[in-house]
Amino acid sequence: MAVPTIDELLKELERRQDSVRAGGGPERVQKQHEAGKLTARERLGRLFDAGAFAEIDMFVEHRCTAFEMVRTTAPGDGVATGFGKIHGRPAVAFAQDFTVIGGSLGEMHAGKISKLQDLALKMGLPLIGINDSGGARIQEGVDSLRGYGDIFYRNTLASGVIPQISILVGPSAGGAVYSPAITDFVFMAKGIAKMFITGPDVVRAAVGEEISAEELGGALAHNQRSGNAHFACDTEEELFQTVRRLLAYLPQNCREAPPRRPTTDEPGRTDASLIPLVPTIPRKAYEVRDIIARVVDQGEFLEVHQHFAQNIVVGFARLDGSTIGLIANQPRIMAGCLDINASDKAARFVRFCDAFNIPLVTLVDVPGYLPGSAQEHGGVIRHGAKLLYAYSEATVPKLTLILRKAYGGAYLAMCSRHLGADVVLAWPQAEIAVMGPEGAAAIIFRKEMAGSPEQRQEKIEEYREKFANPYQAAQRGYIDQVINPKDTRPSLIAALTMAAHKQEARPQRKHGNIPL
Amino acid sequence: MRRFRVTVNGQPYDVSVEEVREAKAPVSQAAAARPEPPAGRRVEAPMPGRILDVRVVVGSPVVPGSVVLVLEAMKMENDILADSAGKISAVHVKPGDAVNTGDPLVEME
Repeated sequence: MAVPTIDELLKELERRQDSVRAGGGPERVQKQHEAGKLTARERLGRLFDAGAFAEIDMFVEHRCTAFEMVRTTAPGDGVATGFGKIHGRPAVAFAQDFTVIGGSLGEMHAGKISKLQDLALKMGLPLIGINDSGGARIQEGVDSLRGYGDIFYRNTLASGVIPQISILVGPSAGGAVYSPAITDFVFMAKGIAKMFITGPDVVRAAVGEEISAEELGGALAHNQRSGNAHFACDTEEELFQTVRRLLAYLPQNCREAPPRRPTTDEPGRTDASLIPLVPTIPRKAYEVRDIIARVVDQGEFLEVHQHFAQNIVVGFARLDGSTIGLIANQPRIMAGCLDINASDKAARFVRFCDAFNIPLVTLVDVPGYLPGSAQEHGGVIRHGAKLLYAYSEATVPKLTLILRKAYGGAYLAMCSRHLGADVVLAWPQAEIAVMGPEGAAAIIFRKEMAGSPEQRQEKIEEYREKFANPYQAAQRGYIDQVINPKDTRPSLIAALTMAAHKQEARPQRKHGNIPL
Repeated sequence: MRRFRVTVNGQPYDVSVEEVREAKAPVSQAAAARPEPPAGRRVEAPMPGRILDVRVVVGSPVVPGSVVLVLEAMKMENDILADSAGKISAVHVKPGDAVNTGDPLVEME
């Protein structure tokens, strides 16, 4: 037998690589495209910088002999894994390949993902998971279940150490949903992504409810209603661009500061158009994003959870090149009140920022907590407590700007001085009080309030003059500075610069017990 | 449980009658709920409050973001917006009405 030449060996390598890259073959790839979906490797190509992705474990194969599996070949065992660069910074990713036995998850498929997770954690690199899978590979039985468990376990160990992003571009049903659920950000492509514990057929059989897969677990269902997803994108192209944009704000791991991006937007830039933006009449609403856009670098703001609990706005921006996490009440939606969903949304975001050294900037205009039995019985006490907990626990720089209303418990919850805010600013129209003037006057001036409407109004005005301003709180030092709205950007940047090397210790413990 | 006295051939009998209601299976509930207009084509009250102003009438065209009415709640005048494009087919409230979370405000076609 002749010893093969290097040319022959290279040809053999190429042949093997090509056969894996071909996935489930041209027919299945065509079907994938007809369904409006990209293939696993096309997706990785869009996520990473051009030509920067190095695939590993291409030749991994399943070792299942049950049923027909002994005759089934599964290139790459239905998942592509590897590493590359995103905006020049390394990251690791896996992409399930729906064209290979439906992207089903078996022992070796899961093993490739687990191995990648271990790598990401050890190297301190962001991990991006692209999910497009029919679910557990039934033929592999408990080995498949074990595979899911191994992935969840590693997602949990990596939580707060490296950013973890889940991309849903296909089905994700049953146990498969829990890996995305443990990660930091979930992206869904409209019309393609479906996520549920039990699909429409089981729902119909078990509880008799008729609902389509899209209504039950589509991108909008999870971005608007359940809050399980944070980004809904119209196309896969837009989705991968947004993931890249998000990563540009984040550090590689919890030991690093977020990357700085030099800006031409002057730190000293004032903006007089901010002055009339917040009406001095507390009954009038406005769009809080208009304020954000005028303050942050180049007006660029990447909103997270845009469609969920819209009465609070959260997302990433930069001030003088440094990443900040913004949390802002939205008076335009539900008066900007706090409720169960808004508390959950903001608390989760605050904890992410704290884990990854991203300073918090909180814009406050909050009338209070939403009243009603639905909220009380839904557990608004427990959920609202998460926000207090998250802010108190956070040790990153905490800057708070009170735009207008800051009443009662909601004032405390929105990163007040008392929860450890480092710098508290206020606009002149700020009102920091136990409650609004109408309610407060009704209690303090009970007798006078029973009189004529003029007398009533007079007492309300008396209270407003005395308490509905920032100066009572400023007298106590709860507010550090009352600023002209036009100076908002320079004032926040000055505070951020001052706090850049903040160090604050917390008592030693295994972990706290956030009120879940 | 109701009690009756029944006389048969001159002989009185005491009988108690229990009314048995057929337990409603969740299946039929879901079936009954189905004729409701699909979500998104109806604007519902996002929180409890009082209607201050209704800005549309039956037949008004709306686009996503159009103000359909103003709800006073949490001491704020809250613009209630349409979330899809269409035409108003029914208006369920008038100024001064008190509404609760989830109450239908307007229907769209």
